[in-house]
Amino acid sequence: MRCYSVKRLLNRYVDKEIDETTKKFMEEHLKVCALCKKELEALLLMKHVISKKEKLEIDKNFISLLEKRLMEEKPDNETHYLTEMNYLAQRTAPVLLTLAVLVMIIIFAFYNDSQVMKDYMDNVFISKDIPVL
Amino acid sequence: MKSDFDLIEEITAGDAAAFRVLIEKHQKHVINVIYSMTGQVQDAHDIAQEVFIKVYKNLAYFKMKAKFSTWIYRIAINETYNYIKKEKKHGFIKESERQNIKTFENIESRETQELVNKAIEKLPYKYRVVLVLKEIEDLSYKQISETLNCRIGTVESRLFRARNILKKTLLPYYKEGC
Repeated sequence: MRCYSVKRLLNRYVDKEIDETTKKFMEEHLKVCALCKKELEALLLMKHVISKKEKLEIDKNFISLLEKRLMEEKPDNETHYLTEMNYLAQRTAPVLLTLAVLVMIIIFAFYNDSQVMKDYMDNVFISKDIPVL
Repeated sequence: MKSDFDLIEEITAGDAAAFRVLIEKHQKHVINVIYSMTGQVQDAHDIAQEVFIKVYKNLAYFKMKAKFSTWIYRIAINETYNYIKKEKKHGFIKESERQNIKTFENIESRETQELVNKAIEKLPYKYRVVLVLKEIEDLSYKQISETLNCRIGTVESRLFRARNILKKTLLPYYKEGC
């Protein structure tokens, strides 16, 4: 395995997202290549430092505060679940709007076409009235 | 212990106690993910409250095909993004802070923790999310790709870039042998 391939796969290697065969080839390369080994050590150090990142202590009142807020938001003790009808209305509204715009465009186009035809017919009719000299 | 799906069915059937169990099960992960991305204790709690309210209101939308944890992480990430966009509370390592922290004397020291937090907060949001889900929550590439609705290759490249930026920011402070 070449350095380019090893460096490209180092993240997968440290995250244990690599198959056994590739892992074996990488380990063979890492035994003999000081540069790639240095890259690996830097990556492992980063992982180690981040893994030591402190975990946050959760506020003991978190759930009671949340429940209080939920109770305040509930009208007449009813849940806020959106009904299937509301869900469907929300999903279909943009489609219906687009269809309405399309229908309007088609009507407008037809109306314009009929105006053009009417003008043409008028011209033909007028031309018949012109006496031939 | 009841599964998330069982709890959701009980909640939708009107059992308020089941919602409490669901919160207890997920609050630690949700708050820690948000905290890792914002670096603010109080804000992490406030955003997590919004996340659980959203979960409660939208539980009817949840399709039982996906994992509940994937769904809640997605809501948490979106809420945090909206918050950051609104408040513009990006953390930056100021020059004065750089001068105070010379090396990683002790990886678990307060100063090092502070430095790591600031370095993570400085990352572009899309890199930060992937890094937090991998390093803090220990999700697999597949789970991250499902949470963010992107390809595994995208997860891999974002993680690669995030770690490269962190290396450039943090390694100068590293002292051999600590």
